[in-house]
Amino acid sequence: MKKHDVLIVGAGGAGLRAAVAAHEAGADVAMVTKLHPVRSHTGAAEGGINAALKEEDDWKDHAYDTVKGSDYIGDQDAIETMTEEAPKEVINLENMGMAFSRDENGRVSQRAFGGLSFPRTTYASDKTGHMLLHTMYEQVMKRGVTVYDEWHVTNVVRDNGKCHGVVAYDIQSGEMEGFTAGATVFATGGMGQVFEHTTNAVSCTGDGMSMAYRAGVPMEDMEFVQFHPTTLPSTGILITEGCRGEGGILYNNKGERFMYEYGYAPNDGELASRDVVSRAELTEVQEGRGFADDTVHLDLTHFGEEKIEERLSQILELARDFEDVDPVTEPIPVKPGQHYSMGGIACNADGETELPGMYAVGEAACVSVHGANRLGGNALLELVVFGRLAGEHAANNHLTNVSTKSVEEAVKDERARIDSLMDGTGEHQSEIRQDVQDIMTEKVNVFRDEEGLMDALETIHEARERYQNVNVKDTSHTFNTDLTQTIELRSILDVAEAVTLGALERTESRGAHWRYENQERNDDDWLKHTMVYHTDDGPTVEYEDVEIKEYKPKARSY
Amino acid sequence: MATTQETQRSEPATAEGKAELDVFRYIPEEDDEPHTETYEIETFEGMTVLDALIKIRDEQDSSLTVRHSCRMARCGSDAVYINGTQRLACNTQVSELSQPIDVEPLPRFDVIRDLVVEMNEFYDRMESVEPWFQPDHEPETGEEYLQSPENRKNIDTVLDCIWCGACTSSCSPAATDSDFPGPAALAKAYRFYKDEREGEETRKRRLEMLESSHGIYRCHTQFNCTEVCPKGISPTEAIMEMSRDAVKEKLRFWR
Amino acid sequence: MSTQKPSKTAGWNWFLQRVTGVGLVVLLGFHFAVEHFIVGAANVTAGNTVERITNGLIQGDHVLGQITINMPAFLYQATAISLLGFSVFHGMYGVYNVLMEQDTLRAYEKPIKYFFIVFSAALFVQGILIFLAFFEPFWQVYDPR
Repeated sequence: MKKHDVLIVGAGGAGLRAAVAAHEAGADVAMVTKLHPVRSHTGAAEGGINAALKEEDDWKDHAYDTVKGSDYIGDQDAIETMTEEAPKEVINLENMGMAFSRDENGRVSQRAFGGLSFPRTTYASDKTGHMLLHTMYEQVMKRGVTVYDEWHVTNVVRDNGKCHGVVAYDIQSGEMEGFTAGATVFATGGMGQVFEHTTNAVSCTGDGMSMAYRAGVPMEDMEFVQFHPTTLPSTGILITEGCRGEGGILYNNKGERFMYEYGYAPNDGELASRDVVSRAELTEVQEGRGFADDTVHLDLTHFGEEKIEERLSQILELARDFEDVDPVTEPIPVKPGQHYSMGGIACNADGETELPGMYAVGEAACVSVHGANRLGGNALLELVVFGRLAGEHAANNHLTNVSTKSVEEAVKDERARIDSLMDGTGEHQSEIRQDVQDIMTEKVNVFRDEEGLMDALETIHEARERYQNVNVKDTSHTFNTDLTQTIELRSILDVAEAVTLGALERTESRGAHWRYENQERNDDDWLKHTMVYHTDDGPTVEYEDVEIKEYKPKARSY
Repeated sequence: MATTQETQRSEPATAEGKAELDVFRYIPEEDDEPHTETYEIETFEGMTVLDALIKIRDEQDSSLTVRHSCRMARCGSDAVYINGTQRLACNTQVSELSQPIDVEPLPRFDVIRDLVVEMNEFYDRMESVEPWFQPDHEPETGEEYLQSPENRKNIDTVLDCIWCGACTSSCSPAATDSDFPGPAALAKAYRFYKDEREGEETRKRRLEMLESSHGIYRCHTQFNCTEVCPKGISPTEAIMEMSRDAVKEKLRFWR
Repeated sequence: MSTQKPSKTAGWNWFLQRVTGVGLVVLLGFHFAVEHFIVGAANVTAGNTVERITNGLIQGDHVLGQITINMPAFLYQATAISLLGFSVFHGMYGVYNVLMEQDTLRAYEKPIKYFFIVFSAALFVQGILIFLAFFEPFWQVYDPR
């Protein structure tokens, strides 16, 4: 049994920031993570982190851009908290050593990004996530915070109306252990592996979302899935929005700059918000103006080799190594790919969920600051702003009456559950996973319709049944990834169901969610958050109001 | 991308879209000794070694285990030994390798199982050089520290380290001397050493710390690390620069 | 690393290893040139070796190959002593280094260090004695009979 005041599940940007904050607030804090911190997917983020740093800029403008980007269902008080705290947090990152790119005066550089009224995206070449992740892990090392590395948390311990901690599986030894904590912070990241074509790592399986959901905390706004407009067609690997921020242009097969030509975004063009650009690209493809493999072209050839090497060195390598294309001389083929989950574990701006003792932060959480669509550069920002707030709050308000006994009981139950997974005689997890991923990418993609969504739900229900008898062929206790992937499959099923159900119920189009039957935004009926709750008979859907303050919903165009 | 030093074998892969992989296998509960399993698969265009391993795992042998996550050479999980060189499985094309393709765990690291090695010693080495920002003064602007674009550019490459372990696996002194931090840790130390924001006092202190009897001077300038680094970092040059600086400071005495 | 104490000598030793390394390239090159191209390997005798050490390289007194060279005695002697010193240091420190880098020998670090210091000193002294043996005043000391 391990016991701490604050336990952070997940060691990406948000988790690490929360750990540092909790430690500075004097709590006994530890981290438990299924990957070593530096392997976290935060490291793959490229473009930048937004903050109104400059004199001429104003955090209220940033707030407005974010509200508009969210298509008016972002909670405005939380958004204002985020944008107001942004400059302080970004400078704090720099003071912790993060190596931002610099201008001639030696100050941190900022560039333009999608959906922003001012170039306020602070960046570190095109490896901002990598720099942020490593800087935060360095700070955790500096403070000597305990990290239980390669421990896979399989369940939350919920008893007597509160969260007592978690149960985790030691990947190296196969042991199960209980972790008792007065506050458990879920910073488990996204769920891209629910889809086949995604920028996300193999580890992004929505574990935290699923665990919180089964512990009675709702998943919020899950239908809002961001499809990033520029991912490589063969692998889904991300090509940063920074390319467009630096002046990259999107072309169709007729050589037209379609964002302007066909009026998708007459003002912002390529730098419209991501949902607008993704839909535009796929429309071009559907109308016969795309290239092979449903792609359009992202052209950087007018930049010259020097500029690309200096500011976009990573995508230079990625395009060459993974798509065999040289951005200096050729346009890069790109298509929309799943990238981010605006939805997640429902929580407030301090990270508190409905369940006392449980917090959520980062991509796993839904505060909501991104509403129906997230602006580029706001995800890394969310990690540090709310990471700090959650860490501090958890340190100062953790429960003092949690029960080790409840956790011990839970360990026994989990041991039995995990062992029973080894008894199955049915299919292997990879087959079930593939079917779910395929149907989600086919039917719950950028463009959705009722029939497709219902087909997807049916496939997911079938997959659940198949999962009852899933067969783990590897019987070893040492680093059994067959087993861990089978455990993850349950998370994928829960998340896929919540996404599809939310999408089916929401009969309007807003932000990243687009319905063939209801192509307009409908504020009268749908200015609300979707809450999917777990019951033994399946998910139920409820709705909650959006926090609207000074930015009243209006027509959204770029 | 690192150059490969493959042992000369038969024809290159993907003749008729097939490949043969000889993979190191070892499951502690089941095997007394490590052994090699041969797998044949069909390939697709652009297939990487990681793709191949996953395909084998999903279609033929679900016990085959390799750490991996991002698939884009950023997380550093999947450093392995392919045809005699340390490579990342996810950015090594099957089509560029001679067959049969040998896949083994990183040399000189303890094997936990199959291609999964014990990384804790590597992490300890990284931590031993105090790899966190230690400025010896407050920011001049009251907000961020100033840093010239040139200085930022100087550390650009070394900042790219993904902790994959390839370099340390290829280093002779690191193999036998556990007090020697190894190329990754020393390159990380260099990243801070060259960062002008830390200030002169910290720079001096870092250099002194690295000048211990098992520090920077243990480097044999083999350049193995430089050859295998998937991010194009040259730890050897970083170490040599710090060594030269240290000696220059000593010689300054006489000037 | 941060737990190890800084070393005062490690940097000097590293530097000297490189200086002697470069030095050896030059000195060994010179030595090979003298033996193989100036004198000619077949022409070396104990007698003319003694002459070279005591008198340096003097044109005309030697059977020359393609190259002729003048070198006063003290300079030639200096190259001989340097070659001795550099080789002892470079060779001994090199081997010492490799042993120092073995975890398995870590417990014996101090004894090994002292051994090498003593052994290197002994080698150097032996070399000096051999050198001195070329000079007449010392023949009394080293009476071969």
